[in-house]
Amino acid sequence: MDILEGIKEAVTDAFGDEIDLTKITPEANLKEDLGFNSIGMLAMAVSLEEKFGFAFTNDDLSAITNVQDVIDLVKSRI
Amino acid sequence: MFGDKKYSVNMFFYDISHGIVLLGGNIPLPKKYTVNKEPFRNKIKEEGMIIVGNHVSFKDPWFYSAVFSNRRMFFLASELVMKDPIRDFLCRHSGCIKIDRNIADINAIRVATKTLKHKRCLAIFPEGTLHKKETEDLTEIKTGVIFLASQTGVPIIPAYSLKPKHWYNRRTIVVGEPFRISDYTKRKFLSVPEMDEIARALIEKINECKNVFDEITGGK
Repeated sequence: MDILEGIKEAVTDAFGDEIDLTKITPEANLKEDLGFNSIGMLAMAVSLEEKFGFAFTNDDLSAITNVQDVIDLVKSRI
Repeated sequence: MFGDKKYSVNMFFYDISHGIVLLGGNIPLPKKYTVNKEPFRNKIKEEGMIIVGNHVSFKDPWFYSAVFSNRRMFFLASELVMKDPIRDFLCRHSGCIKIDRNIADINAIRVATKTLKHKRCLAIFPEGTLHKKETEDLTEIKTGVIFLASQTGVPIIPAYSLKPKHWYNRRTIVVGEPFRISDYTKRKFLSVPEMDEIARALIEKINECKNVFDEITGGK
């Protein structure tokens, strides 16, 4: 699965149709541009874990600020 | 607990500490009612469950432990409660799972999920802090409780209680009917808007307990 597509699916799992998927670009900041909160981050992380088969840690989530960080993390784990 | 030393619990210490706090804190033998004003007895014995209630005292966790005395109780506790090593040790071995409210604490969520999947009870005070205005209805809760229930499929037990007027009075609690996420949706992955909507329904259930509590005690 294409990682960016997987992230878009995970964002849809986490936020329903509240987030415009066209805004999900590698540069997009999760909090400032996409409006992520901590529970949304958790929901997205759990969905990504299910899709790509690895487990996030607190350090992973703390280090993520934009979509590119998520892509890099997923790439490094799969 | 579950192979992670950071979250390990010494069950001998757990039982001793709960006994000491229950007796020393004068909180055994709570008056327990259902929302039908009948005596409450916990019938869920073979399943994990999440107990959610308002938070009015630091003794609440042990009080809930006394209410559900036929189950061992674990708690989600803020990082502030367990900020130094001594408190961390005492709280952890009393069944507290530390959660950092400033981050998306996936480690704590994972331990809480495992606790529930091992058919244990978890008490959460979803207001996230001590409730200052005791007589007001709950209006907002953190949706992590809905997230946990949806991931594990366990029922949520709403409850409401206030501190008794005098320290020597028995404390009263009203316990609601089990609240199941599956009654609202069959999906395991809930979106944030869905969790918000289900959280509002849970707040109504807790406030229903509060109304019965007020009728029984006169709001005291």
